Amino acid sequence: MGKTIKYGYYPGCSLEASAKEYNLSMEEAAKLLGVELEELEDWNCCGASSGHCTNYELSLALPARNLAIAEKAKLNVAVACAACFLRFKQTNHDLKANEGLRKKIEKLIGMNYSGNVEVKHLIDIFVNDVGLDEIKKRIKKPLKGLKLAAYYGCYLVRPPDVTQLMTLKIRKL
Amino acid sequence: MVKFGGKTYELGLIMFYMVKSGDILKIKQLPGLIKLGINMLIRGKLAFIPPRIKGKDEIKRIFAESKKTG
Repeated sequence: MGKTIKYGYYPGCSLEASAKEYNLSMEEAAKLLGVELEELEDWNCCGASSGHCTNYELSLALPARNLAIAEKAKLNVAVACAACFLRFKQTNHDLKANEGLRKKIEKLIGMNYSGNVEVKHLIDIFVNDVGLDEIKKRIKKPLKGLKLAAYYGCYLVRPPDVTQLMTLKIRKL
Repeated sequence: MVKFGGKTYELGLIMFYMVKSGDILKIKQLPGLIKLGINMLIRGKLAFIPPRIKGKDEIKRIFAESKKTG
């Protein structure tokens, strides 16, 4: 594989604790597939899943602070957690659609944010940036004969106009 | 918890939930839950000390301001 793909990495709160093994697997898989992950400096909780039930502006401000940190570092964002991924995508979606709201959120977080940082889930990066052919080349132990039921979390694909990630694309993996 | 430290504190959240829901009074379940909690702490799947980010004051301010406007 030629060029290294670099992203700002947002693990999310659970990946530092109860889902620690998922974080370790994702970081290791990214390293093996040539995806460089630079953890966002001083990131905060994105508010999933209680933030958006508490206060709409808070639910946008919490992910927006992380996105502003990424924008300052000139990085697009890779997210591992499906719930965090949706919060980030929803924030970009809403801020892009409403200039007044974007300015309000900028004031709330005390940072500039254009709404243009690209947010991708790591699985999307593996399938579409790295590519299935590259992944196939690197297989050391094929899972042939193993019957698998894929569970990637509904927040990864729904609502489709926000996440822009189709289930079929992921199924290829 | 996010308001004070900037990140979710899962152990605190579990304790808070158990007290608020009354699950803490279900004596029969407690030994099993305590055992599970200890195993998770040993494996590093639960942090004993609440996480704190450098910008925790910013988060506290975001919570306060959004409460006023949102």
